[in-house]
Amino acid sequence: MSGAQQPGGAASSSLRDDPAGVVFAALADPTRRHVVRTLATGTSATASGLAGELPMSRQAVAKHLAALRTAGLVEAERAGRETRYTLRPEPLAAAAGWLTATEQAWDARLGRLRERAARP
Amino acid sequence: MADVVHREIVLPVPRERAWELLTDPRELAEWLADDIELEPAAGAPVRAAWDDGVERTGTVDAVVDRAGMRFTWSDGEDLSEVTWTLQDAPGGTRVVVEERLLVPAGAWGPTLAAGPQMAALSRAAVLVLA
Repeated sequence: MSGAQQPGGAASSSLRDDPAGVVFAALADPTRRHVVRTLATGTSATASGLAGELPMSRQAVAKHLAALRTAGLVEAERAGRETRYTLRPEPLAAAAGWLTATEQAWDARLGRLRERAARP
Repeated sequence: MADVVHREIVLPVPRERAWELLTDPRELAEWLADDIELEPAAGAPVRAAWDDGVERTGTVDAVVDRAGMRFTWSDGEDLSEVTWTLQDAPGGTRVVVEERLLVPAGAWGPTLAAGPQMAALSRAAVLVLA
C-alpha cells in the first residue's frame, strides 16, 4: 500500500490500520462503487478498460482506482505496459461486520421494545 | 453500502407513552440494555451495559421533547451516533432509529478509553473521512 496516492486525504495512516471507516469513505462515491461492482465479477481490469464503460477519462478512473487501493479494496499488478486491477474482498467483509452486528443488535432491541409497548 | 443502520417500527401507543419507553431508565432496562443510565437532556451521560459484558458509554447530544434524541456512544473501540425520531403514525407512534459509525474500531489504537476525548476525536475523524 505504500506509495498509493491518497486523493483528497481520504485516509490517515492510523485510520488505514482499520479498514471499516476508510472502506465506507471509499465507497461513498458512485463511480468507485461501479468499479467495485465491475471488478466483483472476478475479472481484472485496466484503467483504460474501465474508462471505456464510464463517462470519464482514463486519468479520472485512475484516480478512483488509487482511492480504492488506499482503502485496500483493489490490488494493482503490472502486466507488461499496463496495470491490471483486481478486487480484494476482505476489507468489504470487515466493514460489513459493524453493519451486521449493529443491525442485529437493533432488531433484537426493537423486538423487545415492541413487546414492552404491547404490555400495559 | 453505507455506514448507517436504519430501522423503523410503529408502536401501538400514543406519542407520550412512546417517549416514556425511550427515555425512562426503568423502561429502557426492559428493552435497550440490562443496565442503563440515560437522561433526556443535552450533555447528560449515557451508559448502557449488557449481561454479556459489553458496555457503551457516551453523551446525549440533542433532545427535542417527545420528538427525538441524538446521542453518541462507544464501547471503547468503535464510536457511533444514534438518532431516535418519533412521529405520529396510523395506529400509534413510529420510532425511527439510525445508528451511524463515526470512528471504526482500531482507528485510534486499542488503549484509548471512551470519553469526551473520544467524542472530540470523532469530529476530527469525520472530517478526515469526509
